[in-house]
Amino acid sequence: MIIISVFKKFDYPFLLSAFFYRILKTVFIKAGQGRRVIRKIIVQQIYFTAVEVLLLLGIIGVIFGALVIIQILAQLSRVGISEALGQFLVVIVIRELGPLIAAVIVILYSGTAMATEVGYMTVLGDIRAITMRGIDPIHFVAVPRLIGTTIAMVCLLIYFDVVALLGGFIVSWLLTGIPFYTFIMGVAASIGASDIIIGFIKAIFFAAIIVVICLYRGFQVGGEITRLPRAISKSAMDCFLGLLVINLIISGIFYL
Amino acid sequence: MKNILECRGIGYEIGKNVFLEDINFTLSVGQNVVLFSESDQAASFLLQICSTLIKPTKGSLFIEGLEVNYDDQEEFLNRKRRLAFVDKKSTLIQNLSVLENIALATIYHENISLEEIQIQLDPIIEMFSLKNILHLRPAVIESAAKSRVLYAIEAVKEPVMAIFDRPENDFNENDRYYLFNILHKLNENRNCGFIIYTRSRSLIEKWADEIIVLQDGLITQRVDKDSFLLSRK
Repeated sequence: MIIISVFKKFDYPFLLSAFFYRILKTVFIKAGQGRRVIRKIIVQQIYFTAVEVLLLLGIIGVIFGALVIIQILAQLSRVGISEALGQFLVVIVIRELGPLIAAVIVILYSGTAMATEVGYMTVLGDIRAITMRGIDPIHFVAVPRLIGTTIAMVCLLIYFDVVALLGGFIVSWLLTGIPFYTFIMGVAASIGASDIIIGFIKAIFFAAIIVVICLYRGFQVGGEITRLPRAISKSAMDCFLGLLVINLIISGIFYL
Repeated sequence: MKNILECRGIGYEIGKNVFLEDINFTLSVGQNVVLFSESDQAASFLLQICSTLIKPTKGSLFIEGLEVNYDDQEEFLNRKRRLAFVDKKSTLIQNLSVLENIALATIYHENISLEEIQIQLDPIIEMFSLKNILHLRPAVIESAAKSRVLYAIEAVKEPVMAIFDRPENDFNENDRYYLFNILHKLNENRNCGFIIYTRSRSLIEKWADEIIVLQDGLITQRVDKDSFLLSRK
């Protein structure tokens, strides 16, 4: 009994893995089924996750890039450092914090909305209505959100890195007078193909973890609307913790 | 006549509450069975079991001669496509328009566009007077119109079995003919069996072939329409 109750306390990652496996299996088993409908939901998801946050993420990216440069310049001597600014930005923004911040924005804007939407769908009977039409809710609800969010996440990561570098350059130029060419050559010299690939790997894993947690929490609401607020807050917290763990694992594997 | 549905020793209980006990009956192609019960809950559970939405705690269910396997998700979804079912919990999908709600199953399963399907749906849209609300979301339409949409969704299917839970409650007196529209539409080719739980005398008079009386979770009577109506005068 004790072993079972202890196991039940720690079964959450296993339940999430099983749910993720079910979504992935559905992607392949039902490939091509309901193409038009699924494609439409994927496009809506990309629009909601990526396009609608462009301005917000752009502002955050510029400020973030600028803050990183300000801190670097505050800690180190300005003399002779200007060539290395691009390198610092690559290490801090592109390798580590860029993917993480883009993912946090996706959790706040899209992940919680996803958990709320699916939670309401279970409460209002939408999931039952979908099933009664002979449609698998995992295929109709989860698959397009997973694909859409993954595509959106990769695009947002590229966008965030670009605007953060831009913000970093603007501040560097204002404070040290570094020419754009020198700055960009510093970035280009520091960035490797592996940084870009690892960034994409992180984005894909982050998207998967956000979608799986938020949908799982949403589906768990069942018919009780009172469980919805807790499901939303829990999904946001779990996603954040998941991001940190995944980020740590990926960075550990590739950079150590 | 070919059996569409067969209940063999069906029982349903939650904890110590027994709702259904040893239910045995068959439904044949073209047969219209009316379920009559004092308890809404028992009747509702029986209808949900017949539509395979819930699993009985005892007994077996056979649809078109095959025992229902509750673990097979694909089989479950395929069955739903061939079943018309409306009960108190039936709803529309909130983030789709009325037209999308009606067309969704066809668009999804046949991979055709909404424009293409709309031509096919025109007679149904006409039949249920839905033209003016086609592009509205369920949240902004009145409940009578929602009921018409729910039944229109079922009318689009070509089901082998239609199960309705107190359909008289979904339509007021003036709109009752919509219900008969769908019953006639589904019954066009006489290859659909009906199970309707109702207390409406007019519905029983017009539609029932046979009445199953459910009392205390047991089938106590199976009678023809005339005997039933005579006994309830």
